[in-house]
Amino acid sequence: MNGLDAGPATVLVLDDNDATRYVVGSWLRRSGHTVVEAVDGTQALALLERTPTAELPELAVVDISLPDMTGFEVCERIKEEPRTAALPVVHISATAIGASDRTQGLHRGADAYLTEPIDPAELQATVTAVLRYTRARRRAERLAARVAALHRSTLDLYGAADTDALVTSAVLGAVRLGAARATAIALGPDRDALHLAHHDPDPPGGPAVRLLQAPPVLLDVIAHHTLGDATGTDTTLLEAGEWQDVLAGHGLDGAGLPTGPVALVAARTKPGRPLLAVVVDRDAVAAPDERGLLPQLTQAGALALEAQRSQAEEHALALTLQRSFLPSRLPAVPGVDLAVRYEPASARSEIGGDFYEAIDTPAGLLLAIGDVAGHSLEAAMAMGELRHALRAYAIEGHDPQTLLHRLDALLARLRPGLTVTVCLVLIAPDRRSVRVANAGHLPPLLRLPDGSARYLTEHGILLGLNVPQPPPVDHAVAPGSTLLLVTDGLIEVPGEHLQSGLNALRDAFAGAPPELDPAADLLLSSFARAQTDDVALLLARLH
Amino acid sequence: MPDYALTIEVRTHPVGATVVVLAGELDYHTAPRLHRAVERTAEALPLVLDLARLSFCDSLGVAELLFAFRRTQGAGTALALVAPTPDVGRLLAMTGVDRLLPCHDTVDAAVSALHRP
Repeated sequence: MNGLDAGPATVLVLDDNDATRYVVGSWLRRSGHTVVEAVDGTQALALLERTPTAELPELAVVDISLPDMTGFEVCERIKEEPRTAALPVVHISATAIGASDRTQGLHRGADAYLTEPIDPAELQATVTAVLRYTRARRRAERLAARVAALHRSTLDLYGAADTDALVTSAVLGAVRLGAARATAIALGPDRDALHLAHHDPDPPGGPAVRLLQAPPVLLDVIAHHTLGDATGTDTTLLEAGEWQDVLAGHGLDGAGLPTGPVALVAARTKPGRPLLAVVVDRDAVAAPDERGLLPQLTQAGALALEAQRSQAEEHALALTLQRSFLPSRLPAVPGVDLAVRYEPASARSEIGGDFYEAIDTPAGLLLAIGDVAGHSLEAAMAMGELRHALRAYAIEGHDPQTLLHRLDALLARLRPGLTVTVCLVLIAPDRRSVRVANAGHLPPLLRLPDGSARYLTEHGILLGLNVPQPPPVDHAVAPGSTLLLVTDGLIEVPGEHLQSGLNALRDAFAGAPPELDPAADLLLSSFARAQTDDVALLLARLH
Repeated sequence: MPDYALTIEVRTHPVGATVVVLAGELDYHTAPRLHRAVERTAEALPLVLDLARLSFCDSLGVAELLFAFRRTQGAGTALALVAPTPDVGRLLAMTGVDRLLPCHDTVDAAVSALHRP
């Protein structure tokens, strides 16, 4: 028998007969139980109703024949009320009654049935047995709820976007597992600071979770108390003094963290990696179940941290690679000022295949902007290949239509299945006309010296399908005109219409300052706010 | 928080075509699901993509429409689109894809056009 399930309980004794109530009550008190009494059904139900949930009796002994209602009815009403549905009921009846009454009592929700004369030992044994299984059931239910909470917290941990979100998920997870307050500690991605999240119910009305920072060396102290260099999980119980020393040594005394005895749970997934720690009050890990679940939560946190870290490393690598594919500088040519902006998608997204180029060729200054469909290393590699191929073909002096055909053929051969939009604008050597060849890309915008802006909309189909392109179209341009070439990350926002995005961009461009850099910054800051995609933007002002 | 919802319903038209009905947003997050759905369709049947309830499509969505197009070309059948919204239609026009993928007002019109010799 589990010792936890045999301890004393509060028992409600409901009997209108003073003598029976007294006798049953005193037997139960003698076994260490606390007894509350009621003389009829109404009084008993009222007593249960006004008792706070945490203080409800764990067992009710209910006489069958009561003045205001039957014991069966009392039992039914106890079981109907969600707050008391799990309260076990033991019926007693003053008269020897038939098997059908016992059956009725059990059918209507009672857990046991005793008939007078009641043998004290039988009452004792029945109460012990009923308490044992209801307590075991309650523990099992609580454990099931906490395992479900652990599962939910694990999902939260994996969904966390950054270190602060991750430690926040970890403390909320610890609270779901029963800790009144908790602190989670993990090293940030740059390894220059520890990120702490702390949940505390005191003071009431304070923020649910507070975020703090601490020097990374604190993690070594925690490692010293727990795992050392090992991997896995470890739980260490620290005395109040030991824990206060840890806090005081790292500027965390007075930070509002708990100062009593704590349980320090640490997890590390791989050798050489920083650990993740969860700190709770020591009494939160008193029950054996909690002792098992908290390390699992901490382990899940460490795994999620590891996933976050490798994703960040991959992203940084891909970004470096992608930047190496883009021009390191733009050509300085007479008669044209250039400005370019490139904004990668948010840190959590994969890299995209946006590119831009400006090449001085015998036929004029060739501007290019393009987008390889996809957010992957393959898209970025294809982008690099196309850009270099474009340079090579452009230096040979081909016109824009031929350049698009060459790129199309190259793409179909090298990267079958990939599609790319490319817009080429060739600025004539005299800077008085531009030749546009657009393979399915967003149309270029032309702003005239009078401040009006319009899209140059003639275009062919995107590349990768081996479909011929229409001849390029020439436009005369006045001195002081400005061209804007962008990728779709700037205006494509789910839930917003493409046409309204295009119109808004045109209007913003028309109203932008004439100087290129302020104009580029303005366009980026007004359009690339909710961007989940890369953004490339190229501005050219013709003198 | 972006809405990642795209519902994909695949059914077989009695005249002989696979009809894929798309509703919601076709973008970076949902395009791979259309890819898998198209891969699972019978190669012998022409394909109809019903876009009437597709509210958003980005360049990756267009890439998946083209994947479906190439797959039907490779199998010797054909692809037709049904009733793209003005916004999706604008993207198809901008990328030039509208010249490659015929559009029809209804699924029945698309299926009969695909069966016309």
